[in-house]
Amino acid sequence: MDSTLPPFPLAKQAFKWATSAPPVNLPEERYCQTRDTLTARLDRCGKEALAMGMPEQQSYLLRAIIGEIGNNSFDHNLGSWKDIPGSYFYWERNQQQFVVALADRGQGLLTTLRHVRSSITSHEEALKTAFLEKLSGRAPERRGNGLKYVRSILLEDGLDLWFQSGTAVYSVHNRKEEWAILKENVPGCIAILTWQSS
Amino acid sequence: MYCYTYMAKLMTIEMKNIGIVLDSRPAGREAFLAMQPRLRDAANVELDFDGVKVLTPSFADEFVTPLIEKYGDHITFLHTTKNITVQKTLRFLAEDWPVKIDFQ
Repeated sequence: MDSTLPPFPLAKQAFKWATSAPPVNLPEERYCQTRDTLTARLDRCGKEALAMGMPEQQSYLLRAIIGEIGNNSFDHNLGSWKDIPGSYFYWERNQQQFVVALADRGQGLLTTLRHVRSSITSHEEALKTAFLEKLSGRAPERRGNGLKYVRSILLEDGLDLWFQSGTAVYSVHNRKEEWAILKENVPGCIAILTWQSS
Repeated sequence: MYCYTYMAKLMTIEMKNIGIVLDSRPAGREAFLAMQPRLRDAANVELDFDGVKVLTPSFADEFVTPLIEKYGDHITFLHTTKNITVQKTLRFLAEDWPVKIDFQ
C-alpha cells in the first residue's frame, strides 16, 4: 500500500467531506450526527461483513476497531467541532473486499494532543504519539488506549488501515506499517479500513 | 457460616446483562455507576464475559479498570477466552493494571 488515499469511491467521498470548505452534503445514511447513530449502524455493518464471509471473530475485531476510531470523533470533539458535528461512517463491499470509511471535521490529533503535551509540534509526531504511546487527549481522565489497541489488532489479525490526520498518514497493509507526510491537509481525521477475503 | 458469609460477599456480574456489545466510554461509565448499589457489600467480584460479542478498551477502561483499582486481586474473570475482543482487550489493558490477573 502506498501513502495515497485508497482508491475506493467511499474513501474519496469521506475525504471530500472531511476536507471541503464549506462541507459537502452527504446522504443521510452516511452521516452520524450523534454517537447513538454511529452505534446503531455498527450493528448493520458487522452483519454485512459476516454476510460477505468474514470469519465471525474477525467481524467482532472489525467492529471493535470501528468503535474505537468512531467513538474517538465524539470523545475528543464534543463542544469543539469546527463546523459540522458528527462523523462520516459508511461501508461498501465488492467480491474481494469489505471497505469501511470513517471521517470527522473535528480538531484533529495535533490540536487534541497538544492540550496535554504542548511539546508536540507536528502532525507526524501527533500521529505517532496517538498510535504508539499511551497518552490521553483528555487527561486527567484515563484515556489514550484506543489507537494503540487498533494498531495491535492490525498487526496481529490482518486488517488493513489507512489513517490521516493533518498531513500525516499511518497505514498498515498485510501487517506492514508505513508512516508518511502528504501535501493535502485533513483538519480532523479520516480512516479507511479494508478486509480482503481470501 | 463462613461459607455463607463468603458467598454473601461475592458479587457475580454477568456482563451480557449489561450488553453483548460493550464499546464506548459513556456506556462503560454508565454501567459502572449502575452497578455501584449492587457492589456496596461485595468483598469479591466475578466478571463473567460469557455471551459478550464485542468488548473495547474504551468500555473496559471505564468499567473494568475502576473495579481492578477497587478490588485488586479480589476480582475474578470468567469466560474471557471465548471471544477474541474480550481476550485482546483485557490482556491489552492488563499491561497497565497494578495486579496480575488470571484470565479464564
